[in-house]
Amino acid sequence: MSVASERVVVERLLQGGMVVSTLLFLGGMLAASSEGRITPRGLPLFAIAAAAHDGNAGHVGEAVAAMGVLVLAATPVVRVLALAWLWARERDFRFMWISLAVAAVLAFSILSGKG
Amino acid sequence: MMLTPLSLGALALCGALAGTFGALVGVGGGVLVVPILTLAFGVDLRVATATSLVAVVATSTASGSVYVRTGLANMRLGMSLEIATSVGGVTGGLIATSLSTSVLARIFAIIMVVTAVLMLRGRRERLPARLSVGATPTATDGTGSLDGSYFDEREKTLVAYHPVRLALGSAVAFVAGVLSGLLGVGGGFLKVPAMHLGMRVPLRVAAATSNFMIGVTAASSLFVYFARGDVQPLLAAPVAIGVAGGSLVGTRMARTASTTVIKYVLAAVMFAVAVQMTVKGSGR
Repeated sequence: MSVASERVVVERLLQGGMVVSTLLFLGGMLAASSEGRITPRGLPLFAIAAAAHDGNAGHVGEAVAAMGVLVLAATPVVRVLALAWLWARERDFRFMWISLAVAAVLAFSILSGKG
Repeated sequence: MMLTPLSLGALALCGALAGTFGALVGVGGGVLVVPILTLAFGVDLRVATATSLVAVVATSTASGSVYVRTGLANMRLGMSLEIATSVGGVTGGLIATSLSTSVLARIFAIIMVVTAVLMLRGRRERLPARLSVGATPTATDGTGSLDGSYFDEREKTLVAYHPVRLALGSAVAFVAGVLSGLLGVGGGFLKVPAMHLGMRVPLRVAAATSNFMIGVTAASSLFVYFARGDVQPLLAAPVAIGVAGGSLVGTRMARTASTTVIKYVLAAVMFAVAVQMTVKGSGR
């Protein structure tokens, strides 16, 4: 795989993440504003599913917007993994391992707030 | 706090402003989002920090895609520095829980002043080796190497460069990561000078690579804040949308705008905000 196509993959990944998260943000705000007002509140990462199922329009909108945050935050992580894969295909193992090390730190970050 | 259509528009506008400046200067935009949210909207500093991290990831994602396409962002250099900066980001996110809001406000004010001074003292760029138009870069993002080259649109030449002192860059990237986790900024204000002045990377490449990197830096601490419940999705949404739009405008403006003027304007804003944050930090 050439450097140019490596860039195309990363570019499309980043653009895709941005578009999907923006749509979720807009959808979340629209759903939440159906009640006429938006009152932001903190929604923990691991409570999104519960908020989406509680039937309250504001909470559903909040859960959709939270999915937008999740997709946006996951985009750099996916980008790191994609580069590890691309560099492995190029047999550029030095940078493949560097990418996997960064992915490991990000995995620790995700799990560190769970408990 | 209740959001009306007007306040949603104002939040998106402040995000757009931060995104445009961030993409232009390579600092992410968090340095503007946190003070605007706390001072103008009365948002709690920890929530503002988490919102700013969302904005920084949005800046990096939107502008990073453009900088990758144009070849300005050196992905191997960025990934090499991301190890240190992501470890720093997690560290900062974990430390933040044990610090009071007033302490965070004071740290933020100091960082703002340091950032402004660093930007104002930015030296004139000493460009590395140049190749003629049409020459093929020998090691642009090449396998196993940090070397790179890019096409300078102003001077119509291909510029080749060879980054040095990776250890120094990594050390600064770690500190930038800690500050990112603590304060919700991308840390580009440290990474850009470290890459440019310390690692001999051209300024445009340093700014673009910093923009590419700050998404990972911010994401590493954003997950910590998100898991803890400090992210308010409906507050972050309009800011992130504004930031994304502003970043795309900023990357387009970066081709023609005078970076000197932008640096002076941003430095002036930072000094003013630092004073306000100091007052706010002292008042609690």
